[in-house]
Amino acid sequence: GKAHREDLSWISKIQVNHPAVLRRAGQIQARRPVKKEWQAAWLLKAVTFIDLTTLSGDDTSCNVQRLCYKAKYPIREDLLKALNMHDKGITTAAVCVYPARVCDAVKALKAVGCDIPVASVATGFPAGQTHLKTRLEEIRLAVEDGATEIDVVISRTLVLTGQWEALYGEIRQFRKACGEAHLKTILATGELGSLTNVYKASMIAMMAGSDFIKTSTGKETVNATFPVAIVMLRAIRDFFWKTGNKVGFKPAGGIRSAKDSLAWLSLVKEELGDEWLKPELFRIGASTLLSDIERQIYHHVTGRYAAYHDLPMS
Amino acid sequence: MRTGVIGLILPSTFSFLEMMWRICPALAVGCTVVALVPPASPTPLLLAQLAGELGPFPGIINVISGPASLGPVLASQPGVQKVAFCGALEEGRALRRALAGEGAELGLALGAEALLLLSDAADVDSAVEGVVDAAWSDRSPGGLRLLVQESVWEETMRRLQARMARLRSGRGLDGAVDMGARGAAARDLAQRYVREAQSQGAQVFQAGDVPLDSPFYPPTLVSDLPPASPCAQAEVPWPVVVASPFRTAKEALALANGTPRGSSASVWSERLGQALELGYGLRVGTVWINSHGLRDPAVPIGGCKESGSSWHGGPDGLYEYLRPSGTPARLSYLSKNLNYDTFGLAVPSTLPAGPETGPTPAPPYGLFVGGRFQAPGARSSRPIQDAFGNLHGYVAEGGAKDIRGAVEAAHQATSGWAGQSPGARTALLWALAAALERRESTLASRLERQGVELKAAKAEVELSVRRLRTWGAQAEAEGQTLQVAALRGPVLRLREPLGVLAIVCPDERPLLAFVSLLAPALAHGNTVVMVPSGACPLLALEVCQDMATLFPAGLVNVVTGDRDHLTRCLALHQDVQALWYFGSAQGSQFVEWASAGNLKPVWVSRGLPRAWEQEAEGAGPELGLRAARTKALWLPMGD
Repeated sequence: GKAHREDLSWISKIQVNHPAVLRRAGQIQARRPVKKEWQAAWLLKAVTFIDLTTLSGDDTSCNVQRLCYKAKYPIREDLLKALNMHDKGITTAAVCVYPARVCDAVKALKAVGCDIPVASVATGFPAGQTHLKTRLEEIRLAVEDGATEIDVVISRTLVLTGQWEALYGEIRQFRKACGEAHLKTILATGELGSLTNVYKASMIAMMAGSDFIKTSTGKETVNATFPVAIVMLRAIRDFFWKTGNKVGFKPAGGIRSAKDSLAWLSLVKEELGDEWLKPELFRIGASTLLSDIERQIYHHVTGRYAAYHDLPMS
Repeated sequence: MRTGVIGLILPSTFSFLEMMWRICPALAVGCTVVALVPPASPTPLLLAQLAGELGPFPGIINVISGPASLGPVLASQPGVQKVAFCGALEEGRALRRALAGEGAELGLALGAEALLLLSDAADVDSAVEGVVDAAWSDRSPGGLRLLVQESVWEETMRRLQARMARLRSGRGLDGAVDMGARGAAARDLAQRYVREAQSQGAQVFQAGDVPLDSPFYPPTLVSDLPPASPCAQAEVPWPVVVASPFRTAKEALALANGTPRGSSASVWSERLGQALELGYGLRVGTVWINSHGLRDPAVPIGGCKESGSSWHGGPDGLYEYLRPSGTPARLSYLSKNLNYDTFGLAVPSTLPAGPETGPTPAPPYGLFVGGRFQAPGARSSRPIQDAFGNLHGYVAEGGAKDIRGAVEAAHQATSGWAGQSPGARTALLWALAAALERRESTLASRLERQGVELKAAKAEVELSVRRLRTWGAQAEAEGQTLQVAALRGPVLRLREPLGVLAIVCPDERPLLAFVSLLAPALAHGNTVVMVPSGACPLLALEVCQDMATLFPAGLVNVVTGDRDHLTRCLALHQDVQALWYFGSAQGSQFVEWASAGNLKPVWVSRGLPRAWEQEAEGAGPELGLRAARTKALWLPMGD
C-alpha cells in the first residue's frame, strides 16, 4: 500500500523539545531504584529480554556456538538453584548474528536443544549504503537460512533529506521480503540529527509494519541513550493510541552494566506500562551485559564478588 | 550600603532552600537576621546554632520559634530596618496594614500559584512533564493554572491523565516517590478547593499511587471550571491543576494576566517568535520558555501585582538588603491617632483670595489630563500665593473623579509608551529638555516670585534641564544576560515598566523635584499621574504646556488640588501600579496602610526632607531601581 496523505500530515506537525526531554531522562535515571531480592528478580527478568549478540568481523562458528550455549544457559545452574529459578526455563530472548553466520547459529541451537529464535541483521548492516536490490536479497537469504527475526537498518539518507514517503516505501519492501519473519527496524538514532527526526522515523517505521523499532546498530558513536528512548517510547504509545497495534522496543549498544539494564526496565515500565515488559515487546541488544548481570546475581546469592574466571564465558 | 537588621517571617510550610535564599544574601551584604519560624520546624534553629558557633560574630542569625501572630510584634521592634515576609496573601495584607508608619520597610513575597501556557506549537509530552514539575512534585511551590490551546486540548488531557496514573506519592524521604505530603492544613485546603470547584460545575480527575490516609492528597486535575466562578479567581492550592482552554495567543495573554497574582509562568511553544511574544506579554516575575521551575542563585525570583514586589536571588535579591549610602537608619514615625477612614476624605474649604492686584486677572489653570488642559469635575479653583503674599495664580481643584480620569488616560497611553524603543523615549525627553531651556526666563521668574534668588532660580532650571537629558540618555535597552551555571542558554533580566506610576511631589523645590521624579519614571517606560507641589504648582503646569505639544496624550497627567484628598484617591486606587509619596508623615503612613489594597509598591518620604539638588538623592540609582520592575526570562537551548 502507499502512505496515506493525511497520515503524514500529522507527522509533520510533531515537535520535540530537546532540553525538556533531557531533563526527563535525567529524572528517570535518578528515581525508581530497585534493591535486594527485587533487584535479583528484575535482573533475571532482564536476562530474558536480552538478544545475545555477536557482530564482529572475526566471528567464526566456534564463538557462535559458544554464544548459543550461553543463550540456553545464561546464568550458572547453581546460582539459579539458589534462587529457586532453575526450572523456569530462563534463557535469553534470542541470538543475533551476521547473515553469514545464521546457519552456524541455527545448527548450534539445535544441537543444544534450544528453540529461541535466531535474529539476523540485514540490509547492509550497519551503514545501509548499498543498493536496495542487494539489501532485499540479504533479507531473503537470511530467512532461507533459518533466521526468524530480521534486524534491518533504515536509510538515514532518506530521513535527512525528508523523503518520508520513500522511507515508508522501502520499509514496506523489507516487510514483504521478511515474509513470516519478525521485523525489527533499526533507526540508527545517533545519525538522524534531531529528536524530531527520531520521532518521525519511528512513526514511519511503525506505520510500515515493523514489529519492533530499535534505537541503533551499536556501531555508531552515540547508541542507545535515554532521551532518544523517551522519544521512541512516546511514539510507540501514540501509535498504540491511534491504531491499537503494539509495537516493541529494543535499545542496543552501550548497555553494559546490570544497573543500566534496570534503568531501562524502569523507563519502559514508566512510559509504557507492564504490558510492554515481556520479550514479545521488549528486547535489549547486548553482549557483555549478560556477564555483568551474572556477576550481580552471584553477589546476591553468595555475598561475594566474582572473579573473571568464576563464571563461564559467552 | 547594608540595611541593618532584617526580620524574616516564614510561612508554615517553607522549604529550606527558600529560607537560605533569603538569609544568605542578607548576611553576604552585612546585615543580621532575626527569623520567626513556625514552631514545628527545627531546621532554622539548627542553622542558628551553627551560626552561633562561628565565634567572633554571635547573633548574626537569630531564630524565634513562634506562632504567626508574633509577626507584627517582630516587625515593629525599634531596631528592625526591613521585614521580609513570605507566605499567604491575606497575612501579607494584614502585615502591610499593621506596619504602616513603622520604621521597617516591608518586602512581601506572597502566594505560590504558577501558570503554564501550552500552545499548539508545543511539544505536548514535554509540556506534560512541565506540569508534573510545576504541580505534582516536591519542588512545586503551589498549585498550577494550566492554559491549553483548544486545538490540542484533547491530546493534552489524555496525556496528562496517563501521566498522572504513573505518579507515586509517599513519604518524602523515600527516593522512589514523586511527591510527599505537606501537612494536614495543606490537605484540607486542597480538599475544600476541589469540593467547591465540583459544586461549581467542574470535572475533577484524580489518579496516582497515593496512600489513602491523611495527610496525603492525590494529584488532581480540574477542568471545565466556569471562568466566572469564584474558584477560577481564587488561588489554586497544591497539588491541584486547573486547566482551561484558549483560542488564540491574545486570548491566552488576557486570561493569564486576568488574575491578581503574578509570580511565575512558563510558555510552551516551539515557535521562537510566539514564545517570546507570550513571554514578554505575561505580567509575572519569572518566565520559563519550554521548561518550568528552573532556579539559580544568580537569577532573581519575585513577582508583581498581588504576589508582592520583593525579590530574592540575583542582583535584585541583593538590592533588597541594601540602601543608598548615607541614608540614615529608618525610625518609626507612627502616628497612633491617624484615622484611616477619614484621612483626606473631605476637602477643607479654601478661603477666598484677597483682592487681585496686577494688570489682568490670570485665567485659572485646568488639570493636565489626557494631553490637554481640562476643567476639573468640581468646577472650582484654588488660589496660589507667592512668597510675598500676593496672588500668583489659580489652579484647578481636582477630586476623586479627576484622579479616576487621569489614571484611565495614563492606562490608555501605557501600551503605546511601553512599546516605544528606548531611542524614541530618549528623543522625547530631550525634546522636553530643549523646550524647558527655551522657557527658562518664565520659569526663573516664577521661581523668583516664590522667593528664590534669581541666580539660584536659573541654576535650578538648568539642573532640571540637565536631569531630563541624563535620564533620557539612560533609557535602557531591553535585557541584560545573567550568568547561570547549570543552564545551556541565556537567562535575560528584563527591566519592564511598572505601568501607571503615581507621584505626589514634595512641596519644596517645585520645579526641580517635579522634573527629578518625572524623568526616571518616563525613561523607564511608565506613564505617570502627578500631584505637583502644593505651595507652587504653577511651575509644574508651565512644564505641562510644553508636554501638551510634545508628548503623546495621557503620558503625563498632572492633577492639582487638596494633596491629602488626592493622595487618598491614588493610594486606594486598585489600578495604580506604584505610588511615590513625598509629603507629610501622616500622609506617608496612610499611603503605606492603603497600599495593602492591591499591594502596590510604595515609596514614602515619612515626612523627612530630601536634598533634591544633590546627585545622590535627586538623581541617584535608587530612582532608576524603583521606576521599573524586573522579569527573569529563561531560554534553555538545544535541538
